[in-house]
Amino acid sequence: MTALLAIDNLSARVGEKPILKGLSLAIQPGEVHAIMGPNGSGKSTLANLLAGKPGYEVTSGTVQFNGTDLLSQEAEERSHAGLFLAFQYPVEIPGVSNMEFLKAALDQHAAARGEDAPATGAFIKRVRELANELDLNAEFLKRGVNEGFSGGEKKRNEILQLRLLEPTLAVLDETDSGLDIDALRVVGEGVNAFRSPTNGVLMITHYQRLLDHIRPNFVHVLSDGQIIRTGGPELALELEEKGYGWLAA
Amino acid sequence: MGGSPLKQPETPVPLTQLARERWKYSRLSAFEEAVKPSQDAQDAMTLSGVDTLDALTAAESRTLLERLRPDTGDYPLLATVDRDAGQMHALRVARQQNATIDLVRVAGTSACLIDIAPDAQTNATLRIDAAEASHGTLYVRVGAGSHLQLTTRIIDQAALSWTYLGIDLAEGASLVLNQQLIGIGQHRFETRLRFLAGNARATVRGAALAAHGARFDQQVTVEHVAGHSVSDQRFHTAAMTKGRSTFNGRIHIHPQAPGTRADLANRNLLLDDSAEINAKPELEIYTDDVQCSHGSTVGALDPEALFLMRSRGVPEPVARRLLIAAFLNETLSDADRDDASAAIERYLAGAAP
Repeated sequence: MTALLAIDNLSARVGEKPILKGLSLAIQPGEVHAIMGPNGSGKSTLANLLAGKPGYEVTSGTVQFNGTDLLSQEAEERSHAGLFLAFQYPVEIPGVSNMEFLKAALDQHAAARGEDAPATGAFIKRVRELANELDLNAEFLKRGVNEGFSGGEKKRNEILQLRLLEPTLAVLDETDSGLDIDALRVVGEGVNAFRSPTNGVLMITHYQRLLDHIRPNFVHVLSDGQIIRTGGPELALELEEKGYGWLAA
Repeated sequence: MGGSPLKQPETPVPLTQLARERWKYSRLSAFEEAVKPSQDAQDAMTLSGVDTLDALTAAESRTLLERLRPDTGDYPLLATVDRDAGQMHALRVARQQNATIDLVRVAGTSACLIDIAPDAQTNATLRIDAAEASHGTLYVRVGAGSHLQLTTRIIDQAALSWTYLGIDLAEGASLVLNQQLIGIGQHRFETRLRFLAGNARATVRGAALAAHGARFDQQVTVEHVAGHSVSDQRFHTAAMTKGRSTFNGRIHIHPQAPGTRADLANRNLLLDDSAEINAKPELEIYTDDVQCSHGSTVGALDPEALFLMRSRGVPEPVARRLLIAAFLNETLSDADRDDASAAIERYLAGAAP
């Protein structure tokens, strides 16, 4: 079986500073992987690099996504291919309404598949359904992208985009940060609704509490640009109790 | 300020010899050469919606123009192109009248004077649609408690233009002014608003897109002569390949204007290495107890916003177009935006790789 995502010995730097130092990780269809680790260990770099954000230089290693070379693709091509990054700090875009933004994204995905753009009526219906599931007021569709949204609303909007675009791999970059308990539950339910035997989730988090809602198959500890420990959900509990110090030592 | 202040010179100084800062970034000779004896002012402009309006008498026109006409030392072109009251379209919107006026400058030198009586409503547009260089003035007095909604529109105009817009606001008057400057050509637009009494309010929004080789120059002066009024200005400008934009926004709060609230925000987007933006916000305050803000920013598109759109599958050229249009849409009013939005889309589509 082809791995959904296969990262092999990946090293990358930002400017002159090496961040990732020989990271390897494979995600099979249907799996949920959690990456935990202290600040500065390279978690967000990994997420941004996978999504194709400019400013990261890969110095060695490969990343295969569904059997194709991910690193040679532009950010938009990676999205079309089925990769999705839920941002840690979703940016506000005043002047572009959520509706316009979501439609532009869906239209471009359809175009990349050689299909016609989805009908506006069906699109609106689907967005409303998802907004309802995620406890987002439908009024938000008319507002600028993330404009004036609370931290929790921004994260729920990320999950709405995830559900709408139906990728095969979701990378969640600290999606739990800034969420209260209710929002955490709503976001967790959103991600669980996305899970299927054919797609995968890579979630980056500081805290075990997200893993109460989204049960991972594997938990990895990232430290100084490398995965230093891999285990099951029990590893997250152990980290919560002991911190990272005992592993790095 | 560069150069010496120029106060009503006995002998007009040739424009090209002026070194005043306000003209620093505009090629004056282009305007000077374009000032030619033109056809009668009555033919320079087409007016619609004015059938129900009274004309001002010659004496009324003269008196009003004396009040509204600024010191030509501050507006040197005005001395050359302005018309006598007798040569202007001079109209009155009567008390409690509700008027819709469309003014289109089609050629030469146009001049229009509008006196809005108290407690009236006026919805007006001033558009330039001229094949050759044109100049023009529009003076408006907004009477006590009256409302003026005015859109000025210069879209797709290849020929050079210069415009002076002067508006005086009386007690409790309100103004919504939308200024659109989109496309090509060389255009200088001078706006002066004066608050002559309290409880008046002006909301000013400007959207400008300087496309290939365009030279835009917007000069805005807001004078709070009397206190307890509010001005709120926001101008967004984007400059494309070889486009050049100059913006000077000055707020002047006079000694007799306490309790004034005045804000000016000017944001500029540089879309190409060959584009040029000159922006200066100015604030002069001569009294206490006022709330003011002013600022200009110049920058490129937000890389984080661009990446968010690309990460959702929107290709970079499309994402750039959406973001630029959004930036300009922020200062286009919902009313009167269709032509401007369509023109913006057109220029941005042409510019995409």
